[in-house]
Amino acid sequence: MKNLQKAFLFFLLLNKRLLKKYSFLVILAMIPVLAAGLLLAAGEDSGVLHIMLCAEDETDDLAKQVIGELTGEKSILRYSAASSADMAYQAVCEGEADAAWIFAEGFTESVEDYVSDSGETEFLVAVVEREDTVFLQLARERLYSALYPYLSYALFKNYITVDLSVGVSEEELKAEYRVAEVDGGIFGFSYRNREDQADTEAETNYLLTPLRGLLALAVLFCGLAASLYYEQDKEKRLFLLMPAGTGILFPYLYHLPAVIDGAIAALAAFFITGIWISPERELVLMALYCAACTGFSNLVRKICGTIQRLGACIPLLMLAMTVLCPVFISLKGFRMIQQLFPPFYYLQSVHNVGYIRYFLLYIAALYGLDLLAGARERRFSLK
Amino acid sequence: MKDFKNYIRIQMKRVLRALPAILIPTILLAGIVALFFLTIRGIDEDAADKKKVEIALVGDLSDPYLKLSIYALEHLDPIHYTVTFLPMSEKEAVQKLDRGQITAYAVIPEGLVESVMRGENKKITYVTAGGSAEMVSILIRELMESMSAILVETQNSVYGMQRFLREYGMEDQLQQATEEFDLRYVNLFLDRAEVCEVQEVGLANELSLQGYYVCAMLLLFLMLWGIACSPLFVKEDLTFQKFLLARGQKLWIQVAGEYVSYLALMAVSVFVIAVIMTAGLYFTELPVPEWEKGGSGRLLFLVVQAIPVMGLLSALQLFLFELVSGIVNGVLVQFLGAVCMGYLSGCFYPVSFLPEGMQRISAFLPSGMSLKYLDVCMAGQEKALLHLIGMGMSLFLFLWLTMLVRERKLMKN
Repeated sequence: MKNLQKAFLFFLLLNKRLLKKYSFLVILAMIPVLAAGLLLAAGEDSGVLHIMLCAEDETDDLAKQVIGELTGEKSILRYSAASSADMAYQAVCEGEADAAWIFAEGFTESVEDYVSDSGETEFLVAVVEREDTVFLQLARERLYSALYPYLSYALFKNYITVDLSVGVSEEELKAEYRVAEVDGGIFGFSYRNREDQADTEAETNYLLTPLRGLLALAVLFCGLAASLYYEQDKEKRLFLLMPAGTGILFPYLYHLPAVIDGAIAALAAFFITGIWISPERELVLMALYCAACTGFSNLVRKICGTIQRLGACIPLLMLAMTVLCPVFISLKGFRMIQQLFPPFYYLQSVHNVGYIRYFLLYIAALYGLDLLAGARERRFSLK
Repeated sequence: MKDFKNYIRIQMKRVLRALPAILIPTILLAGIVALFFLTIRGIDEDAADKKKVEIALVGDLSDPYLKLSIYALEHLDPIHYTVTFLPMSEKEAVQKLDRGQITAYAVIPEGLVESVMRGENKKITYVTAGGSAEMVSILIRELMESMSAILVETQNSVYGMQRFLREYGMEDQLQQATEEFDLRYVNLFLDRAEVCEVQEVGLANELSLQGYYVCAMLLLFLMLWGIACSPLFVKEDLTFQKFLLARGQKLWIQVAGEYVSYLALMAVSVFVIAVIMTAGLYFTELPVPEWEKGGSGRLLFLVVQAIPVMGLLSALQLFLFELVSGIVNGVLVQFLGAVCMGYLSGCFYPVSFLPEGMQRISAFLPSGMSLKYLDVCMAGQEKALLHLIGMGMSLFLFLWLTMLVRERKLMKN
């Protein structure tokens, strides 16, 4: 009990000392700034593709209606209306837009012709692209789904009036077409933990989705920064003045305030940005992650040995983790390397509670290795 | 002038001694940046059917209509260029998802087809691992929402037609009409690619996505490279600089001397990496369409063109080193600076993905200017001079700021 009190006192003192370092405060400040920046950015008009829309015939009501629907929707694609087909074409050629969707002249009539049995099918929209990428292919599906209600209605009308030869007014047809109104889509989205919401803004906006991963990296960065401070203090021989300075647990205690400060800032950012899941899940996972970050930072510090090597190693590790852990992209085929890094387990466990068992195994392995490396470090320091 | 030459000579000797130690992390850094590039490029390769998104199908797949639909999606529909469907048990799908072998799995509920026919759609649950923020996944999600809207629209139309027949006393035709009508919808759906005519205008003198990312990765590499120099350029104390000042060695000579040696060190490191990579590229497929004409030597040429970028970033990094004291602070400030500027300037996402406000900020950042200049060089455009003027002004601004900070520190001491 007395030891625990002593450890807590050390924790408080080390934390106080840490919070006086302006470089650490800058790292901590980075967390809310990053979250606020992404939140603001997500609220603005942006998209992974910029698509110019225009109608060759500006008086075509149907084309105007489809363009209006597309420009008014919230999507991963950013639409803007061009005043002419030439302007849209030019925007693509000059790289200002990724594609132009130009609605053909006589679009309204073409839609009706398209579904009739006349044989001649004229295209309805001219798509101009610089190169055909997977994003643009998927974007064209959105174009099709925007046109589909009109094509579907035209098909319905054509079948009733031509194939079944029923004389009926346009108003009546429209009324019959709309009367069924099937509710709800056919796809529901879920995570491995089925109860987790997968439809929130934070989970579907591409600017916000990397936030959890980035903040997890920031927490680990706090731990690695603590490793640098530790080596700096060791070089200055500060620990010789402290009775606890040579203990096995002291390096962990030294790293812990930095990691916990980072974790608190990250949790606050999760809450504010709306990616918070539930108190139990967030706190348990973050506690495990803090343990992993502390062990990992200490192990890296021991492996590097000097402040210079550690300084050179940190950016390499951070960059490697940004690439290999599912922060921006989810990589396949690098599982063995991915499993070396704490953020990987944290991010995998967020919506998959079952993965926590691997996280626990990882932490156990990390501390086992760390203690082995510690024994080696002490042996060398005694020599 | 003699003082200036002497100071540069001393600084060059100092950095040359440190060169081998700096090259090791530099080579590792280059390796990771190259891996980052290959990963991003891999996403685009999906379009060429090299690495499709794999989605497992689990649940009740026994219905013949469902089987037919899956067959049509896999073989006849344009979506088969992007997605592969793999029927399997839920247990197997869960294991594969946990191991990262599939992107997601879709749970087909029992009696799905009957529910669709009745207009009471049961939901197909699309399950992802979560925590992974894959852009393609978000796009696929949008695609599914579009597909869902199409199905609902079709259902409305079919039920509308059936009711119409009933109301007009044509119930005897109901069966045949429904089959005919359904078939038309199947054709309408499968032939949807014919709705539009795709015209590829080619890249002309604009950048491909791969070309863009080569520039972005080169910039990220140059920005992170500064960290390895922290032990060399962060000053623990300024006694020597104060001594030089007392001996009449002007402040600008000190800063310029350090700047030239820093730039030389950066240039040598980058050229070493570029030579290694050029040799590597000689034996592999060229990663960007812009280099198809020039061959693997184009990388080396790009690095030569990037010398003004190195000039600007050297001045920026020297300024950051001047702002802090101690190696720890040097490492932290360089890393944070590189990551924040890299994000805002489009090193992680292309800058066009960002909102306009952020794009405007990016244009004034040294990293944003540098990336724009590299893009222009890569695309072979003739607008480079315009960017060079802005970069030159920023370079002198940072050197001037470095001098100011140094002066303030020396006066304080």
